[in-house]
Amino acid sequence: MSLADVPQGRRIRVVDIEGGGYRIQKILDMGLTPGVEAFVRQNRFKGPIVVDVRGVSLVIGRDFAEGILVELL
Amino acid sequence: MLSFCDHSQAKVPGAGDTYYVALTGNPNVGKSSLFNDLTGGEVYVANWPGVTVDLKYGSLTHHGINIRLIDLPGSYSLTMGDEAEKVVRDFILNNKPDLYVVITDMTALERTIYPAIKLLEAFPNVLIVLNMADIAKRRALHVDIEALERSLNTYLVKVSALSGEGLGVLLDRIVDFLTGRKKGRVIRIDYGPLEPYIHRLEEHIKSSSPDIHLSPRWVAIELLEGDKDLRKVLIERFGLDEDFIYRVIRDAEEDLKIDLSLHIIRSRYGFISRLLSGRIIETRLIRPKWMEALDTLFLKPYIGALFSLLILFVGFMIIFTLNTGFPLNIILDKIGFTSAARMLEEYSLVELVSLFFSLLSDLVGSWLFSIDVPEFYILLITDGLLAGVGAVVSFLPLVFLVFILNSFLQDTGLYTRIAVSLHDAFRRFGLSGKSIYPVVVGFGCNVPGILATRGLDDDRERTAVVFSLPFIPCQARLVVLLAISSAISSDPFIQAFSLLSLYMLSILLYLITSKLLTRRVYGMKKGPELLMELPPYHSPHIKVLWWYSKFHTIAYLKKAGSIILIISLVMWLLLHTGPVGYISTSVLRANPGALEDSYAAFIGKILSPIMGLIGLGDWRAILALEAGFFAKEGVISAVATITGVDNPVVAFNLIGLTKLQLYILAVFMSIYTPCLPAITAIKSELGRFKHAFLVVSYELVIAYMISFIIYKIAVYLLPVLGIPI
Repeated sequence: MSLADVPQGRRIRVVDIEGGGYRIQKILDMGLTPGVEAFVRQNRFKGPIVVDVRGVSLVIGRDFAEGILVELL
Repeated sequence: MLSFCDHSQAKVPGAGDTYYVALTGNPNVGKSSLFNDLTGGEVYVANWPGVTVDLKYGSLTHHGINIRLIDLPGSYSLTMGDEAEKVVRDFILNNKPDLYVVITDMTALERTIYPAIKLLEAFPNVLIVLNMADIAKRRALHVDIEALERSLNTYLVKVSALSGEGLGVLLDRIVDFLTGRKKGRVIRIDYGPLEPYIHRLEEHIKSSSPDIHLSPRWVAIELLEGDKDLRKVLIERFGLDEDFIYRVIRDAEEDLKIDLSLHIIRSRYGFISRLLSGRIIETRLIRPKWMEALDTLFLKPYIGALFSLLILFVGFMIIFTLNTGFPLNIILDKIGFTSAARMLEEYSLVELVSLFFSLLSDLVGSWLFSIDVPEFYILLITDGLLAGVGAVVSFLPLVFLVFILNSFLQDTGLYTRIAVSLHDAFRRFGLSGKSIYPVVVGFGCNVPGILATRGLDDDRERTAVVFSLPFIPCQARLVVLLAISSAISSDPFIQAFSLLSLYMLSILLYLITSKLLTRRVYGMKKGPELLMELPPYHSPHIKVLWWYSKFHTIAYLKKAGSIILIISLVMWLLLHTGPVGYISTSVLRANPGALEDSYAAFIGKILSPIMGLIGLGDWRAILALEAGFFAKEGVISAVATITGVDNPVVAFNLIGLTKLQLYILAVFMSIYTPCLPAITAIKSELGRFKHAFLVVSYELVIAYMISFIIYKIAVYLLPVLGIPI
C-alpha cells in the first residue's frame, strides 16, 4: 500500500520509493529509506502526511506520499 | 577572491597562523546560534573558491590559536536540488579547511549524524557536535559518547547552544585537531555488491587526480550516488574521463539491477543504525498535547491556511504599527480615538527618524547659512544629501523588525508550519508555501519583502518571487492610492472600487508573473512538491533573533545605501535645476509653475507624446511619476510642490486631470516600476544589474499596456454608458 493510504497512528515499514531524480535523493537523505520503520503521526485530511522517522518528523505532500510504498507493522 | 592554503601538511602551530574550520549540518540543528555563540556575533562575509555566494565567517582565538570559522548553509545532501546544497558541495570540492565541525541534534541523532558520516568518508578531520544537550537531559536521553568516539575515531562533544554549556570543551577539542594532537581517519562503509565498481572508479580517480584533497573512494561513491549534475561537476573538477565513468556506472546498473543512489544511501543509514544500536538510551519521550493540537490545526485544509495568515497578519500589524503607526492609527481614528492615533504616528519609528533628520538638516542648514554658503549648496546638502541619508536610515527599523519576525518564526518552528499550510494554494502558481512570507512583508514594504526571499530554498522560486514581488502594492502606494481615489470622487463606493480594483490587479499581476517565470522560463509544471522537516517547537532565543537581524540589516545598509544616496542627489538636481540654472525654493513658493523650467519637467515634456496615448500627457503628471521612482510617496510631494497645496486630495484635483486620467495615474503608479530602494534590493538579491534592469523594463511595459487597455476601453465605453470621462 502507499503511504498516503495509511491511517494515522500506525507504524509502518518503508518497502520502496517510486520515481527518480532529485526528490527521491532528498527524501532518502532525509532518512526515509526502504527498510526503515516509521510512525504515521498525522494523516487525517486531504493535506500532507506527517511521518516520524529516525527521530525527526517529516511532512510529505500527498502526491509524493502516493509514490512511497509501505507495509503496516 | 579570498582563498586559503592547505595547512594539512607539515603543520607547525605557531603564533600568527590562522586555521580554517567549516561549520555544517542539517537544517534545524541550531547551527546559526552555535556559530554566533562561538564568534561572539562579529560576522563578516567573503567569497570562497568555487562558491558562487558569499559565506559568513567569524574569527576567534582559543589558547593562542587563531581560528576562522566558516558558516556553511544547512543542507541534507549534495545534489543540485537547492542553493544551500550546491553551496556546501562547491565548498567541499574546492576548499580544504583544517577541520569540519558537523552540528547534530542530540535528540535526533540517527538522522542528523548523517552529514557527519558522509563527510567522514571524504575527509579525516571531522568533529561532531551533539547540540541540544539540555533538551536531551530533560528527556533523560543518554548517548554512549565514548563508544561512538572509538568507532568513528573522532570527538563527539555535547553542547547546548542555548545555555552555552559545553562550548569551552568544544573549543579545546577543535584546537586538539588543529594542533595535530588529535588525528582523524576517514571511515569506510561497506557498500556490498557495489564495491568492485567503487574500486574501479577509485583507481581512475587516483591516477587522474593524484593530489586530490578528498578521499578518492568518496569521490567514487558520489559519482555512483549522485545525479547527472553532481557527476558532471565531479568529472570537471577532478579532470576525470567522462566515458570511463559512465561506462562503470552503466555496468553497475546493468549487472546489479539496483537503483544506485537508493542502495548507497540505504547502506549508509544501515551503517548509522548499527553504529548507534544499543548506544542511545531514551527512557521517556514526551510530546506535549498542545504541540499535537497545534500541528493538527496547521494541517487542516483551509483552516490551517487561515490560521497561518492570521499569525502573519498580527505579526505585521505590530511591526508596521511600530514603524509608521499604520494601520492601527486608521483603526483608532475610525473608532474615535483620534488623539491616540496621532500619538501613534508621532512616536512611530519612521516619524522619529524623520524628526531627527529634519532637526539635523535645520542645524546643518543654519550653520552653512552662517558661514555664507550659497542657498543652492545648502539645499543640495540638506534637501538632497541629508534627505537621501534619511531615506536610507528610515528603512532600517523596518528591515530590522521584519528580520526579527522572520527569525522568530524560524526559530520557534512556526515558519515551517505556515509554509506547509499554504503550500497547496501556492503550488498552483509554481511557488512553495514559504513564499507567503515575502509577499506579506511586501504589502508593508517591498524592500524587506525582497530581502525576505532569502528564506526560500529553491533558487528558481526565489528569482521568480523577487521578480514578481514589486507588483505587490506596498504601504507607500496605498497612501498615494488613497489620495488619488479620494480625488476621483467623494463617493465612498467609487473610492472603494478604485482602491480594490487596483489591489486585485496588482495581486493578479504578481501571481501571473511568478507563474510565467516558473512555468515558461524554468519549465516547472507545478511548485515544488511538499517535503519538509517539521522541527520541534522551541521558545525563541533572543540572542539568535538579535544577531540574525543585525547581520541582515547591516548587509542591506552596505549594499543599498550608497546607490540610494547617489540617485536621491540626482533626483534633487533634476527637480531643482534646469536650463535656466537653479530654481530656488523661494521662487517655487511664490510661483509653483516655475517647476516647469526644471530638467524633470523637461524630461516630462519629452515623454509627453508617449504618455499622451494613455491619457497622461500632462508634464505635471509625468513629473509626479518621475518623483515616484525615487519613492512612491514622492508622487504626493511632487504634486504638492507643483500646485503649492499641501493637501494631497486638493492638490490632485488642482493639476487638472479628469477622473479617468486620475484612475490611470493610479494604475500606472502602482505598476510602473519598483521604487529605487526596491530596485537596489533586487540588484543585491539577484546579484546583477541586468536583472534589476529587466524587472524595471518588464514592469514599465506591463504598466503601459494595462493603462493603455483600460484607457482605450474606458474612452469608448464610458460615453456609451452615459458616464462623463
